[in-house]
Amino acid sequence: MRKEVILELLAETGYLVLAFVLQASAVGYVSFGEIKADLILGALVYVAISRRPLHSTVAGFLVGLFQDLTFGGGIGLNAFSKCLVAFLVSHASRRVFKERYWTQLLLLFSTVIFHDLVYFVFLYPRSVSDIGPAIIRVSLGSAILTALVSPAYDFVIRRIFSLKGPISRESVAVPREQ
Amino acid sequence: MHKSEELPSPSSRYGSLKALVICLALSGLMIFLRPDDVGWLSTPRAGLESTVVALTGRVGWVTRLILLAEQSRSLHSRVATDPLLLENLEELRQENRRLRELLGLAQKDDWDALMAEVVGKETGRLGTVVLVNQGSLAGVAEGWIACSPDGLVGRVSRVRDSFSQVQLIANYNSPVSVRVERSGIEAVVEWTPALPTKLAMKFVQPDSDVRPGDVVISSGLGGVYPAGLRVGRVTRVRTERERQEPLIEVRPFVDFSRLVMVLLVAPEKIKVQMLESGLFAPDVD
Repeated sequence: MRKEVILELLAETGYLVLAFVLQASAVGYVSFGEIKADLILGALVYVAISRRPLHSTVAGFLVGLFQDLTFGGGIGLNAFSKCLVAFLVSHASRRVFKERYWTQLLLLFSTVIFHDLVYFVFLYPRSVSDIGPAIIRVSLGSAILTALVSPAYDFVIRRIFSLKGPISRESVAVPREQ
Repeated sequence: MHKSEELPSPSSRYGSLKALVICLALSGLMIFLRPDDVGWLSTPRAGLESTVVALTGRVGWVTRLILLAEQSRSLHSRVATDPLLLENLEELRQENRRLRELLGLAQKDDWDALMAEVVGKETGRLGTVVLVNQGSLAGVAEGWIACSPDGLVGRVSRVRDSFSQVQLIANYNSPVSVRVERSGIEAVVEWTPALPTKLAMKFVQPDSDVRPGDVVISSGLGGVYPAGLRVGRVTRVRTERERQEPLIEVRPFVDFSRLVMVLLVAPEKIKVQMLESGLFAPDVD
């Protein structure tokens, strides 16, 4: 069982790292102005809907911290917003039919909007009134793109690397609480 | 929507809440730290960035190749249509050299410039930082200017051995001193959340002569960017009763999402030239 858990964690790390590498190399170029898909956030949503809230929160924090450390001047902003959204998505996904494609799309869409709201508030605290236009001009488009691209990424990567689906994975890696 | 599985037990719910509070507290603390306080992180950051550059450099080559081919086609057509212009420029350069000799003025040195390839882009929402494959080993230093054939791109904000980080002018803390080419009005352009795809022009008087279509170039004031680099075009001028300052939108000439190659220029030589022309105040630096 322990070996399986380690392998699952390694696969999940690879899944997130690949999303990061694609985001920094290819996805950045495939954009419409400032509107681009956020593959990292999309991959994190898939981790959050398949894992427990504790696991998802820590994963969100680590992914955000990795982003903060590799680019940008300040540290903590991505870690803050990503651990918060991972926690909320993981809890929310336990109350909905996450197996449904439309539910996943809705989760992805709303996650990007919420993430950007938190991100912009901390990025530009002196001009909170300007955040509404930023959400409309950047986040709405990005949320739609992310909701369309992320399921494809999840599907392709799971097919290529023969990973287990997001729903059945938890029951294999971590035994359900009694 | 229906409930798809059992809700977590109270103990696991509180466990995740505790983890959330700890993670939020840690990241909140990091947000408010000054860059000097996290200086000890520079070594692990350099290691992480090297890994990212190595990975993205390999994975992103297909995309970059496609974009380079596209740019090459447009540049070829531009060069093919403007050979006379290039000849004229060379003639003017020679003439300028001769005139400076006659007047006894010092000759202007060529700028130290280096071509660099964009090998990574910030993964955050705005993507206003890029990594280029030239670093301190090639002579790049912090503060160098990054340009493209279209105009000003940004400045080098961090340098490692074999790569550097360029902060774009579309970054939230990269104001640029500019001048409207037609009317000579001086101002500052910077990114704001209200105009995420453009730059906002600030410090402009209400009756200033700025119109849509005006070309905006860097003014060189402040000593960060040299004078005369193309920045963007005014797309909208709006006056509101409750605001004294007009709202002016500037669209950058450079398409930052299609950035593949940049020209890195050492600012020292530019500053010497600006000093000669009286545009740069040495006490600012």
